[in-house]
Amino acid sequence: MAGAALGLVPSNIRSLIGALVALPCRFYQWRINRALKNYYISSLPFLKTPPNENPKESRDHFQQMLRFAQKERPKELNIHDIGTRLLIANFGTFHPTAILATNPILKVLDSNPEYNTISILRSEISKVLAESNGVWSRTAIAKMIRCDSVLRETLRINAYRARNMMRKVMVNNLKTEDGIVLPKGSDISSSPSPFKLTASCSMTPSSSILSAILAFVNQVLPTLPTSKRNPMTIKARLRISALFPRVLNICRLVMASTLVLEDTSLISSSR
Amino acid sequence: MDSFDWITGDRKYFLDSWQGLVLKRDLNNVLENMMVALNEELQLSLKTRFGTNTTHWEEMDIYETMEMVTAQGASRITVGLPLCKLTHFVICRSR
Repeated sequence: MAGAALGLVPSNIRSLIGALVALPCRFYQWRINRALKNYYISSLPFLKTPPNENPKESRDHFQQMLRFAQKERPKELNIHDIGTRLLIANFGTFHPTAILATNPILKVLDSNPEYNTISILRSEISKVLAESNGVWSRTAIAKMIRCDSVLRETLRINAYRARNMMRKVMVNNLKTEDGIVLPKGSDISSSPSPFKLTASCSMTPSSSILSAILAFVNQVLPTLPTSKRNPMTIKARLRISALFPRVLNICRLVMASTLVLEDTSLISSSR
Repeated sequence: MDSFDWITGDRKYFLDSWQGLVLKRDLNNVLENMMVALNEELQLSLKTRFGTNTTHWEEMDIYETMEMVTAQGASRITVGLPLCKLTHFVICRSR
């Protein structure tokens, strides 16, 4: 928001407006540092012992930042610097995750009720969780083929990046097909989502390719041992079989289609 | 670059961003052990934020709720137990 506001004001008063616009950020920063203060004070004694020696020492990001600061940046070992750095690290963790977690929920709720997406996903989750004795691990998460398909298909349609890469016009009098003149030196970029939703542009596989891949899923997949039945192996196998040069992209679609086709043996075999 | 000065007070947080290095180098190694804690925290926060009452239904904004849920879950990994449950702390961090 600060960036958008600053783009509108003249550059000579930008430093004044910028400081004003940033005031709420500084207020939240101050409140967070205040909340962290007690935790910071209680964490400091652990720094006197070597790492991993005291079992009471927590292994969280904050503590590891304190350890790093103690070793590499002794000047920054204070609550203000550590708190601000923690806050900056949040930019990467909160907002993308919240957006990426919201889209699949909306998509699953919006899906056609006749395909029972919710109950299929639920049964897969409870099956995988039971296999790993109720404890999540990376290997257990990698086994959830259908959840993976829903997430990938959501990511494909609602990509997190709203724009393609920016490109600069390097020639004079460049005209688009619609007759829009692009002046030399201007930056252009397009929104990728319409391409993904338009049938003529999208990678939707033709029926023959779809049936070939579905045959693979139906015939080869059940013969694989359960441990190899994860999305990465399936993709690798599909790549080897070289059904189509763009098979990896199509594969995501197919995984999503198999998700909703209840009568495929992929689903029945893993029940 | 100036905006970094205004928002955080110093551009060193951006130019010398070792917080990301710590995340990548040290936290990735212990991520497997944190999954149990994260699962527990997410379970708790999903229950409290989305509610468990199946007779009385209310309309809610999924994005806002998920923002709080992820903020609480991520806080469990970044600052640990007592702080990640403080609502005002979580709200501040998600802003």
